[in-house]
Amino acid sequence: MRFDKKSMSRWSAALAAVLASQGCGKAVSNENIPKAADELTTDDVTDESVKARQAKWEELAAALGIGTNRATTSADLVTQLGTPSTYLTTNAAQLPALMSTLTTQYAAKANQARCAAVDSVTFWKNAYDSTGTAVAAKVYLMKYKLQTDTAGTAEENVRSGLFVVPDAGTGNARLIAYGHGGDSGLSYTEIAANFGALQASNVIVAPAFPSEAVCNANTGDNKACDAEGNLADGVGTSLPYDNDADDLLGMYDCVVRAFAGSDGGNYNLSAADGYASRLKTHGAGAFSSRPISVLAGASRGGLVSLVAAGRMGAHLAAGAGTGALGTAYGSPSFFSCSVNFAGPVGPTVGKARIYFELLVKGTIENSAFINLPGIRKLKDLFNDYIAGEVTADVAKMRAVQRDVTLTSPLIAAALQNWKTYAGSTQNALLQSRRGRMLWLHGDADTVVPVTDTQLQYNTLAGMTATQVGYVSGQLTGTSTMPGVNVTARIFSGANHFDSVYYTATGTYPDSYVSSTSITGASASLDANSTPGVDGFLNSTAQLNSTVSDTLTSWLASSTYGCTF
Amino acid sequence: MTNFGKRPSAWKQLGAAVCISGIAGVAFSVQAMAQEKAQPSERPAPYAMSPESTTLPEKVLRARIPYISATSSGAAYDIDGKKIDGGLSANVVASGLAIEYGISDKMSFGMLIPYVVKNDLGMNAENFRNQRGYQLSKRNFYVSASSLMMKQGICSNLSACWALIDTGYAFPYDTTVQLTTGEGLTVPAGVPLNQGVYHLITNASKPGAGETGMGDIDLGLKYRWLNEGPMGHAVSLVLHTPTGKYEDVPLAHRATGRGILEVGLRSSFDYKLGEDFIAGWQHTIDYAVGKGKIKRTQLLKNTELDDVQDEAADGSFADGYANDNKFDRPGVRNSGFIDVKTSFGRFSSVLNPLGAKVRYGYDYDSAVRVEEREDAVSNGFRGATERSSMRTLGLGLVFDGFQLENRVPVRVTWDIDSPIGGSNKAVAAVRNSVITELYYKF
Repeated sequence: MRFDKKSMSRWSAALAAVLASQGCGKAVSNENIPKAADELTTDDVTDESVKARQAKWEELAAALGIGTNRATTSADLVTQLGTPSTYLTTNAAQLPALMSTLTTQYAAKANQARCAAVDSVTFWKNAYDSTGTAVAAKVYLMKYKLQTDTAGTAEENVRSGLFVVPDAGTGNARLIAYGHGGDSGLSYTEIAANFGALQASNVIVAPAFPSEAVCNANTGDNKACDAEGNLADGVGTSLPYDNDADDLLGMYDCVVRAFAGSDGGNYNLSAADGYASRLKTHGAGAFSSRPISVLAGASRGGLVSLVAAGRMGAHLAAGAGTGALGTAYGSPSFFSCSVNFAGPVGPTVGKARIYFELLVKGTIENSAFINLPGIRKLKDLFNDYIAGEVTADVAKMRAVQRDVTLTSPLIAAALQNWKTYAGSTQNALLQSRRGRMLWLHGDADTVVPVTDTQLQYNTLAGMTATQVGYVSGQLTGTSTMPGVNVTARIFSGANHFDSVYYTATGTYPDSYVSSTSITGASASLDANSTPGVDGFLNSTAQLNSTVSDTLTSWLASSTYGCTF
Repeated sequence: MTNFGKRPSAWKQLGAAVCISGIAGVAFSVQAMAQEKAQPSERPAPYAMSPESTTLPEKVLRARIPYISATSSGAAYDIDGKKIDGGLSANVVASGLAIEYGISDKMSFGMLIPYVVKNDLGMNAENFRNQRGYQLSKRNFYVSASSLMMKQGICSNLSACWALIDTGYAFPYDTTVQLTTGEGLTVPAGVPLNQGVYHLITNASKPGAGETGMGDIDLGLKYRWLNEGPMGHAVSLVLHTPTGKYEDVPLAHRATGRGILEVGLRSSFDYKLGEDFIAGWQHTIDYAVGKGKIKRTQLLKNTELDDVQDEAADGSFADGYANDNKFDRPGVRNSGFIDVKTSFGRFSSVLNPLGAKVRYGYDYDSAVRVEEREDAVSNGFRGATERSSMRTLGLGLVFDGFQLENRVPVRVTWDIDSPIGGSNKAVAAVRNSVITELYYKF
């Protein structure tokens, strides 16, 4: 074998063929390149699960008549979030039907908010205020049971709560049913901080709420429930805000019965503990012996107290047409006033609608909103809707019964000056008997935006005859509704009222709902506007007042406060 | 034993041109491949086996013309060393000229001028998501978006925000996210951020026409100090000069150089295994000297350098990086190979010109580190502050004209090297190399 030029040429050709077989020279190109990020639109969304969740959210939003939280600019979103459900605006004609459905639901479970029995009442300690200074009142632990059916059968669970009774006084103590903030249990320190010296002149009733404990804390925040153990363990299952309201109304009912000696004689507070005639009663009318009662709450508890007020409004509306109070609700509670410490407005309006969207989409777990009280349990309530097991209409009602704006007609009818109620022959709803509300909020609130109070106020103040048609339609012989006097106090520079006992929060700047962007019709109203509410929104007068000062003066005020 | 000096006229003949229709390599390593083929000097062996430690005889000039093709159809290695389909296909051709001269029988001087002939890279966007670079870019975007979400109160910490984004979170209104380059990307309301980031990164990484032309020129000096019995050893000093394109090349176009001066120390050892085999081990340690200049590329238009001025009043930048920066390559680059060569002359004297080898190659490359920051980034700069490595297994054939009866002073080698392992390698290319060597004695 020789290697000459000819053979070298053959070898070279063979070599080239081998190289070609290795794929040499294969052209390359770009494939599947998506469109540029800055050209994307919602039409380009490819994730089927994302689209499915978005569809579920949009379906529910449509059922509720609310926006879907999609806007071009931040300002547009603020406007959208500040716009309540169309049930309160363009679709107001349908609001009465919605309220009717809600009333029926409430009536079906009314007994669950009634006291079945007081199990025990135990003195715990003497009262004090936020600084630890003694207050002339005593703190009791009450254990009680609620009814399970219309026959009044007592449940198995033994619930717990605290109530504070003044050491002295005759006929001057209002009965305040207080819904606590947070969802880590009830701490007396919260009551001491919010009511202070008022404990010496008011009976305060505070349930722990389902599944939550009464904390053994003496000082500090309510996280001490973990550090110092429980005074009473929690029972039951939480259905956020809804069966919290059962507890609030039910324990209130138990205390009323105990004071009245109508709990079977076991815990006749009037006789056994020297508390006879301690409560301030209406003193006249059909309910002359009933205490003047206040629904109150802080933060989450504020929402609970308004949910409870809605229940009472539903009751009054249901009974108003026939004049037979209590027909559907057994033995209802009757409140005259309401105090709301920085309570949220509910899921359908304001920044809460952002977290409601995440909740309905099943993605709220990783958001900061998951730490808001009750949200974890509320999330579970919508799992069946997410899974397609219930309709949007069913899910809608779950949202409605937890929303202050959509239940505004009922809330506005809930509070009455019962002194002038003549009895079953008289219409239950009269404008002359309108009750009183006090809302307190800090404009630097990082947990519940101050705009929630503004939205509540705007909704109540902006109601028209059509919107309150369900309630007013029950009236006999008049086209007016009772309404309510509202005093809203915005504290300049104040953070969340319960911030001392609620720490697991992120920062909620007002980039979505700014305090200046949602003011609407929040100016003062004429004292006798009909229908609607009376009241004023004052953001400057209380700059140098404490919450306790404001509450004290409001309770004593016969003009807008809880003195009749 | 050597054939040098016997047919000087033939040494002046040019060797036959070698036809190769395709080459490739990854654009990023074009010049590295060329350098690898430019080992300073080899002395023709008796039977087409050239020991690694040999130097050229005194006054002998050798010209080598490498022609290298590197091709890949998506093969890559992730940071953990797992082989993946990284969505990048390459077709790169490099050539050049290597000149060596025997200063003495023990010392040679060499110079390599690499030239990138073709620099094509294609991307399959869907598979590109497997790349380390994609993940780093995605992380950068998530950090930017998360920062905004935390300010809005949507989530309270990075991990929660990331988890929320992964579930398809979308901004409720058209929101502009400032990217690490200072550019602003407006994400429309309702578009999931985890989809937006896919569109952003794949477009930011979309390859364009690759740069061609001269790469980094290498200069080397090799000294053989041991040649006793079966063993030989030489040391080389190699200087990699940053003459290739680098600083002003946007990411889409890919550079032809490494952008920084590197000094290498090379050890070349060989051991004869009887008359028929030679084992060799060559190892090079390269150390980057000083700093190179580097410019950031726009993310929204990766064919352009970043000219967004996002410097704050206090001189700081959103992500701590200016657009024009300096970089270094901390640590050293370790590369080399172990091979065993043989000649087919053992079978028949007519096969004397033919030889073969099997080779295991490795390259543990240093990383680009911008502004001496240790965080792994991929924010418009080339490199990601993370080292990469590649291991290959190759076969080679050699035709040695010196072994012909009429002693043609040409030698042609063909090697094919396939990746067998690596880490953090965006493209793992199969490399075909044909090197034509011509000799001349003065």
